[in-house]
Amino acid sequence: MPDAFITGFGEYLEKQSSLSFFELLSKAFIDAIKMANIESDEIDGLVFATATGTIEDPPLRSLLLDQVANFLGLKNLRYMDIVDYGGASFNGMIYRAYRAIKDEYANAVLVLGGGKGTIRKKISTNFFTRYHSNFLNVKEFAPTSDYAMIALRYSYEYNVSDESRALVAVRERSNASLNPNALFRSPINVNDVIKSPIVSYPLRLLECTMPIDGFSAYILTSEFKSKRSEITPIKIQGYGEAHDPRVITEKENILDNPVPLSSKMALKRANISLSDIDLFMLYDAYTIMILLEIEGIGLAEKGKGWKFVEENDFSSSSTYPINTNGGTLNMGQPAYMSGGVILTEALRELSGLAEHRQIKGIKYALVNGLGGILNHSTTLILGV
Amino acid sequence: MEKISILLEKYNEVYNEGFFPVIKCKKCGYTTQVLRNRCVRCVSDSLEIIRISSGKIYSYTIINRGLDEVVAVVIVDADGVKVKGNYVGDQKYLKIGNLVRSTIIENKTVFTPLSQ
Repeated sequence: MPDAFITGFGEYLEKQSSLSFFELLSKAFIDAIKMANIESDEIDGLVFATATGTIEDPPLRSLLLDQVANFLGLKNLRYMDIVDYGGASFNGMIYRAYRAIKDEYANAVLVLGGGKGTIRKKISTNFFTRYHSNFLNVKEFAPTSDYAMIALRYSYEYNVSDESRALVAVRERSNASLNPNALFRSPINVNDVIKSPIVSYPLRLLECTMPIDGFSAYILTSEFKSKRSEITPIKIQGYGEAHDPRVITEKENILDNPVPLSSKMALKRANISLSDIDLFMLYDAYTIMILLEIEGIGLAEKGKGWKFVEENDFSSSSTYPINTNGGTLNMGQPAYMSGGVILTEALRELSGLAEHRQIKGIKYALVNGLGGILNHSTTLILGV
Repeated sequence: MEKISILLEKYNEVYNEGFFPVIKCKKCGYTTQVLRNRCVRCVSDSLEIIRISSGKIYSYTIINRGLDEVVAVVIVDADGVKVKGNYVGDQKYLKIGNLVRSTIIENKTVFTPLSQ
């Protein structure tokens, strides 16, 4: 069975872009194929993800995958796929591309995800409710208000202060100060986070990511083609995904999430343990997510994630580097999905391209994606 | 089996009377605020709609940004079933464990402090 590697990646992000959805995606695409050193004619697979409302209308969303392939001139496709579980989609796309090559459906797969986060209309009601428009009739600000209630419940159950959760934002900002591409780079302290305006109590502005525009692109190829890459081809060591689509009111405990399942599966398949991981890139649309992931992956016991954050500073020189680019709290979130921004940083670190925040001797990185309201978790373990 | 549109009519009727509607499976007793025409636990299609009039605050949030007004949302635990709704009343009363009841304010069913 042939092996498959990530051989190129591209990231094009703007706070608010004048470029169109299609112009943005082609920017990320070009960078990725240049790094992989392949021609667009060689691309025989396409896997795509976007989010509702982040594409100008027209063009319409119907046959969107066709439109993307058409715009990029990809005429030799043998495998096409759309992955649609929000921010967790990126890891899922990488795995599907990997499988397509392993199973010999394709030799060079383009993975593409993003959109224009800044054009989506404000969501006031029922974004995440199902089946009919008037169901529940609750005025809310999803997903933020749901994550706020999750954060509050976490504090209540484990007796955790807002300050402890705020420390996540402080740690990430400290990493962002070493990243020239971060939107927010000046150091902050816990008090700055607490004093920043409340978005949805208890979540403050500095605990929430900012919607931006942009795309992330990745090229996976067979071993033969991977030799042309400008980077050391990156291996897919293990992958796990777990889905629980229940709305939060249907869960026995609203803190329940599928992270333990997906991460356990990924580690098992990679046949390595947590202590082998040199970098953790964790989905961070909100600070509370990081605490739940730290616990879910097993870096800390349930209810003790905040303590882990107190004892570990996330930096690239620490024992457990986390979100070395500052995460999407500081990079912004393209198309309401943080999954690309964290995945790309893992690839940058594994390729030795992370400059001042480079982790020395890095071998393995774990990327955890989340989607919906703790509904979807994907864990990808990469290695060089 | 009743069509979702018919269940929705009943659901809305309860809501318009000032209660939070919840679907209860007549066979296994599973309750949920999410409207479906089949029980997701035992797949029975024998369902009834019950009225939730009070419960304990399980979690809450006060949304200060992003909407045209400040809005409070609560998840209320009503004998094991969780119900999400807007909350109208003293913000200081918002505390996990406090009791709330349903009422109609400006044509909308909301939760409000039980004591008021």
